[in-house]
Amino acid sequence: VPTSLQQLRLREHQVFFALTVAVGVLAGLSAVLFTVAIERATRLFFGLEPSAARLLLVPILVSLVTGALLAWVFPDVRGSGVPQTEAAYHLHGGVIAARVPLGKFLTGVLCIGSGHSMGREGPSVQIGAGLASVIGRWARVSPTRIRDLVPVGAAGALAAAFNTPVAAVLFALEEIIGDMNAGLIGSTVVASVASVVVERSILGNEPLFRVPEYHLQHPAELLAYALLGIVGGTVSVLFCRGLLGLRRLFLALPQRTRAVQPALGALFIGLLLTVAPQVMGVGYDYVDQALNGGLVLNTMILLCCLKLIGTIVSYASGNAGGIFAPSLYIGAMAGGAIGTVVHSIAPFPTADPGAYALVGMGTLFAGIIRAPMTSVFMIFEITQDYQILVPLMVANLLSFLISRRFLPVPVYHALLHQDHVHLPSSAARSTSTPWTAGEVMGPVALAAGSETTAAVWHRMTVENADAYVVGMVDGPPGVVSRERLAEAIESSRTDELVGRLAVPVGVHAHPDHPSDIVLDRLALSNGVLPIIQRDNAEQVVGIVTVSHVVRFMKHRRDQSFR
Amino acid sequence: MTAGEEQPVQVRCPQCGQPLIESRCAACQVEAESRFVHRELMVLLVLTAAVVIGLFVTRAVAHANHRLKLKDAAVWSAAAERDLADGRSESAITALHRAATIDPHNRQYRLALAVALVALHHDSAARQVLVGMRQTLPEDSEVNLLLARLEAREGNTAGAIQGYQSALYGTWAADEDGRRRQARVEFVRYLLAQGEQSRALSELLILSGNLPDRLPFQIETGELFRDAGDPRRALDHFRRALRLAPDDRRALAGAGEAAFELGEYAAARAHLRAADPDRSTPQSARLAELRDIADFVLERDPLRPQLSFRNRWDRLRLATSRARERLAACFGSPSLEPQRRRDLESLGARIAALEAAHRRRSRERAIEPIEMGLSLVYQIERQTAGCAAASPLDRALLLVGDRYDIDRR
Repeated sequence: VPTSLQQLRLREHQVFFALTVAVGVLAGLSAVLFTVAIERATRLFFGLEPSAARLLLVPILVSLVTGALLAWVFPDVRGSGVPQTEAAYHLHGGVIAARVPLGKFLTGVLCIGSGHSMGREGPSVQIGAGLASVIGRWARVSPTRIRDLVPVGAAGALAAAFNTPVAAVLFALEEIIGDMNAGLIGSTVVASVASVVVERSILGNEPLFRVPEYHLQHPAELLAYALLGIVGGTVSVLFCRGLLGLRRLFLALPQRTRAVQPALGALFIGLLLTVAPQVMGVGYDYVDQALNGGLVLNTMILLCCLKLIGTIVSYASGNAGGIFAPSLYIGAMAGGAIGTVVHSIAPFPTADPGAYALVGMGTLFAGIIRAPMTSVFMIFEITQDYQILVPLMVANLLSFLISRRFLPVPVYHALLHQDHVHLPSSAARSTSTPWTAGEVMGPVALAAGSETTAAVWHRMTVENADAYVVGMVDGPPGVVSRERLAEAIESSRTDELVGRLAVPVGVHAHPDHPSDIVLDRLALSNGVLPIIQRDNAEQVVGIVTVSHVVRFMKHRRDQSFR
Repeated sequence: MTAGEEQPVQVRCPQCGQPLIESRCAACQVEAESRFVHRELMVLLVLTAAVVIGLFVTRAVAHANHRLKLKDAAVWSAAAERDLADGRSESAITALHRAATIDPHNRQYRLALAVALVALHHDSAARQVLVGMRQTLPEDSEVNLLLARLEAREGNTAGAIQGYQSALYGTWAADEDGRRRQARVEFVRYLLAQGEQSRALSELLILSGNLPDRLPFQIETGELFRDAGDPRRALDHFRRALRLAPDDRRALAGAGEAAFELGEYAAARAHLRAADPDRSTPQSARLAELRDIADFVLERDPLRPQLSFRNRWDRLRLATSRARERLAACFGSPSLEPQRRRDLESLGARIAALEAAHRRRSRERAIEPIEMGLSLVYQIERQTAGCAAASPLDRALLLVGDRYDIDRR
């Protein structure tokens, strides 16, 4: 019996392969259901030809419901879902609560279906990743495998949502994992293919857009595409800054208003829809029209601006929906507008405006999402035309560079920063480092801001601490070093509150940061480098000073001699 | 084992009571292994079931959604038809856009959208719709025909010709022969407008070979042959038309014109007289003029066979008299250049000598003096063509000269 059981038992990689296929299919199905549900919801809420009153009221009324759901039932499904998925992969070992995919599906359908200017791809990614995580935990695979299933589910969902299997794989590697050389490429490819096969068997092998025939009419046309890249990069920066700025304002509002914030945004969206119903929801119908020359110059400029504003308001007010589709929409309108102008004034033959709209989509995607490889391959997969690659790369590269120059932190990471979550950079994920901040850091010695300098100095001499983290009543914690306290004592400021001496936590590191980053930041600090949690940037878990580093190195040296 | 030796203590498994071997319970190990394998298999089975059920549920939901979308598209299409009937073209285009977006596979919606866009001169948008359709339906003749019209409108002759040819050799949704014939007629008209006579004639020959024996088709083809510079085939078609409807004035006029072009003035006169043009329109005035010219050609031709010599001399006299009038009209022109005046004076002197000779030789039964006289009249008619408008008689005299190649005689 034992022998036969041993034979029956599958090896872990065989189970993982089976899970990968199942996750790919289920993620694809979830993406298809999500798309269909949004379409039905939109039809239900607005009918065929909605009146102005309906356009105004539907977003507000539905957002009151979704606001309550997002505040009290599903607090972790606001926004796109891509940043949360990245955080789950990098910080939580791939664990995503079972309520997340369910909540994202429900609130996503309600928010996008009720006219909010948001996309369905980001939520699909979170739903797919969430399903993958739930399945992995239910199947009791190892923690590493649970983590690995997250990008697999994300790739499967995105492949079905956008019908671009290669771009979905690249997105999972480039954005979710953050490493194009990740060992998970095989699994993501399997999930992506399984998902797309299922999606096409249900919806047919239809591209998302009907794209015009593309030809580079004249070599000088590359200049026009370069112009498009510059404009796309500028619009991307405007979009990201606007989004982050307005979201910061919404986050600064009292916590008790959290439930009505989506409805506040919906009030603006309702008014916007009465003026321009074209900005409603995902908006791919109008992208299709821009691609096929169905919109005039003024309309495209107007829609580009209104979609940009509408998406900023919808997202910043805390609704559930992504920025993937809006970035494509804005890009198509900007590209179409530039194409129309170039087509009419260029002294050389140029392609139709639809071709510029197509490249514009990739340009804005590269500028906003900051996934350049995904942006190129996504448009390439949509067109299936090699000729578009060169103009696409020219425009995308320029847009990417401009966006990176003016926005050092990509928008998904910046959104996480606003939620006090700091994802590890690629350098931080490097494994060839001699030590990490977590290994070197000393324990946190805590002091209250209301304590006197003399009292804290006394404790410091007793506890032999290098620095104290000072808790503040009305703000983030600060740090006070031994040198600073000594200075105060020497100048007889013994009764001064230690809160006044504390320096707010500015330059900091995370426990997984490698030695080079820690030393670099220590040099920038005032001698004490606070180490803070990645998933809660307000929690100081340790400090690093020069003496900590020296002590650690001595300790390691002694151990190696032994 | 001997008596008195101590029995070794056998350690048993606390869970199942079975003896442990090397501190392990074989039975429990098998059971644990079995549980693990069963769970592993159960996981895979449940996942497979979930995938299958999910697939069926999603497929059912997606298909139900698709049916609802098709209904919505039909509603938009009907709204577009109403808008078009009420003259609200822009609104119709919006509705058709929606119908075509909801149901992108519906050829009818996309074609209707393209037709509406072409009609409203939204050429760029129409082109995009049509190019998209051609990618999926490359042999759709209606799509290619609309594209050809767009290219023609934008002055792209090569593109238009390619479009028309694709339309002619593609497939039509209904009434294939009739629609192809109409397209070919349109193509021929386009070629003629572009001055591509020989290409137009090639297409006309194909058209002519498959033409039903019906009056409008015969007349239309005859007119196209006439415009393409092939009056012989034009006359054939007009005659076929006349066999179907002998009194059809359009066919009579066409036959008259074609016969005139061919120099068959008797037939031309007969057809044109039967057509009875009333000069109420430029076209009918032209036909009446042709009829008059044919009359003159037949009645004033001095070289016409089976005429008596007296009759020939009389006709020549009338012709020289007209030539003299033309000369007199030219001499009265203030803008006459000196050199040209001298040339005309020389011709005047010759015509005067000829008239004098007429009186002496009018009883002669030789054809050469009549040919010489006609030649001189022909020269004068040609030389004076720029001085005054040519009357039907002048044109008739020129035609008579041309007819006998009188210059070379």
